[in-house]
Amino acid sequence: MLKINAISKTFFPNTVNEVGALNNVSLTIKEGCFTAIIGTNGSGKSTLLNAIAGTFIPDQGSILLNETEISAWPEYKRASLIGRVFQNPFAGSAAEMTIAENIIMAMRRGQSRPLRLAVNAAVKEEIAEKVRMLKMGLEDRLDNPIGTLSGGQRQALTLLMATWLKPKLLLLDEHTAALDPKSAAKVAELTKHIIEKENLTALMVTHSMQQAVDLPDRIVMMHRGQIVEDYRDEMKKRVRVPDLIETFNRVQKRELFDESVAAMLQQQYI
Amino acid sequence: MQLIQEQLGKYFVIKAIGKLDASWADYFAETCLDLIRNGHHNLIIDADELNFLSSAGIRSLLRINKELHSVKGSFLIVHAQDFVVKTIEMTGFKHWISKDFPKELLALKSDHSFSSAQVDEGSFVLNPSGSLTLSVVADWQPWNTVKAENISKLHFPASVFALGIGSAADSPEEARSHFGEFVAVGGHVIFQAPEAKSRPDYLLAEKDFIPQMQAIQALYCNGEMSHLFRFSPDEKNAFFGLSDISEKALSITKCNAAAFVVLAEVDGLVGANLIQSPGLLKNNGIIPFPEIREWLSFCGERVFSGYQAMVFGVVTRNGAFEKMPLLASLPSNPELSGHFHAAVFPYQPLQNGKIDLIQNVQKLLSGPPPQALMHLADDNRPAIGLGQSSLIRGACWCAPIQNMEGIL
Ligand SMILES: Nc1ncnc2c1ncn2[C@@H]1O[C@H](COP(=O)(O)OP(=O)(O)O)[C@@H](O)[C@H]1O
Ligand SMILES: [Mg+2]
Repeated sequence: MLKINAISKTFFPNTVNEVGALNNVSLTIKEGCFTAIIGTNGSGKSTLLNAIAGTFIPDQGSILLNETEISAWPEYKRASLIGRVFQNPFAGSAAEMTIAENIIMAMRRGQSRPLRLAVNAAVKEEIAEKVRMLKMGLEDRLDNPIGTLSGGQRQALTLLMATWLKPKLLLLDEHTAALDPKSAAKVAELTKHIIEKENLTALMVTHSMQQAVDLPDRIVMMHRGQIVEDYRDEMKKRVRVPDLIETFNRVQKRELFDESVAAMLQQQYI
Repeated sequence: MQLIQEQLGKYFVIKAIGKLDASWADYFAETCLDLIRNGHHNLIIDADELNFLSSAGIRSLLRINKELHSVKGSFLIVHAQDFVVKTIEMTGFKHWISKDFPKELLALKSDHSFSSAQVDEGSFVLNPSGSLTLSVVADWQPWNTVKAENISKLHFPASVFALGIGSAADSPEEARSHFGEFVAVGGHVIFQAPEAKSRPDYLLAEKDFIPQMQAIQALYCNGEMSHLFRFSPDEKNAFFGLSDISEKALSITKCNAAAFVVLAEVDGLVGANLIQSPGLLKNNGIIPFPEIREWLSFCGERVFSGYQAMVFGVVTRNGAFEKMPLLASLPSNPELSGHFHAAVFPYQPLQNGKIDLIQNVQKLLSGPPPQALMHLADDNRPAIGLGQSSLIRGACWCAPIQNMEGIL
């Protein structure tokens, strides 16, 4: 379970460039819940994920993962509990290493004194079996450098590696945004499949409203560093893309209602 | 496919050259539907050089025919080659086919001095003695608390035109948490629950059923409309502001107070609507910013361009009535004051000429549901104001307000 308590983060405080990226955000996510985060550019989605992953320490608030306060943990320590996939398909693996070597690295992640994992036939078979699940024919190319694969293939493998050790929490930041539409659909489907199969708790930032409707159990909408809408349970089941667009519009409309509008409506709303 | 368009009298001729098949059917249909939207309700397809017609092409003809039928327009296909005639005959639309143009049009064709006519201009006297009695039935003033005695039960027989704030709940107690804007025309009431996400709902007058509302604010007019005027873009105006329409309603009814109903295509609407019921107010007085945003939603930009609006409004020349509540001065024409509510529907074309208000309102209400209900505002904030609501083409039914009864 993930519990975020009133976290705030301001970048460049007290300067002209001051940005309130997170403003008193609270969010509780049940174990096994797959949540999408949507919102306009700069609404704080990545910053929220970074705060959870420990890229920086928030100015205020606390973060609990499985009842444990992790706010003060450094990023590498959190990495033993948290799997991440980013937008760039070339960022999550080492290009010159083979598929198998990349996966073995992932299998050893978070171990303080890495055991030398013998790459014997049994391990190879275990790897091949999981890679076969991707249905990309990569199980026959385990000894090829990962750099020879397409973006979609690499992102599928990155996803597999990030979830290999069944992390307590999976963070996905627009992980299909840089792919061509066909690969994006494939990786999205794979994401849902793996999360369901492993019963993972996951947070997925996406710019695709269709993905937000199709994949997760819950949708959180952010705007200007705040959570402005939260679709869950029955509400989530009913919500469709046009509803999300309407909510976006409503949130933006509200923003246009400033003090000058209030003054005008004092004369005109009678 | 190539389309050559020409207006001749009341007719609009489209010469279709090439193939009307799946790849051109949508383009062809959209072009014709656009013409219908722009008031051209008598279309003639010159099929002389149409050398292919597929089933997708037939479907596009059916779409056009259906739209024309809804505005009592006419549709004709002339000079068609045999295979086109046969295909159309087989689908049962033989009556579309004619050998040549109608005689009156042929006469026009030879007369080169002809210039294209405005098809939907004009004003009509409906009933020279038509007039409305206005009652201010309830006059809640924002943002006072609502007391039991501020809530009035209203009935909406067919002779009533009204706007205000109310609820369709049965009892005043139930209504308290549901007060939102409403507009009523010819006994039909369109209202909206005060929630950010809500869509309008309606109560339709039927046989013995007379809609009722619990209202805290209402300008309630009873009587008959006296005039109808049509408006559409010309060289001078691409659209018509609400203050222009108000001015015209006052001048045509020769009165300093008038009420009107407009059905028209929207250029842009500006307004606000309740998102929390005033019945829940705890304190009297102005609600400051930003709390006011919990009560009112503002459109933020000019909205609903291309939609069809039904607006009911009451407008007066300043000084027409002493101490008349519920009217706001119009910055776009400071001599006028008014109050306007608009219900917004997906676009539906109107027939040209002299048309009946109630019939057209019923037609609008029997189509796709309304998208919004707004209290219209004339936003004159310096530099950033959105201006007033304006309309492109439509019809305005109006009547003088002869009697003004006070609070009942
Ligand atoms: N490391 C950083 N340093 C300075 N400003 C940042 C940093 N990260 C994000 N921001 C700012 O914080 C705001 C939120 O950014 P982000 O969380 O990336 O938005 P989103 O992911 O929703 O598009 C933006 O204005 C962004 O410029
Ligand atoms: Mg009003």
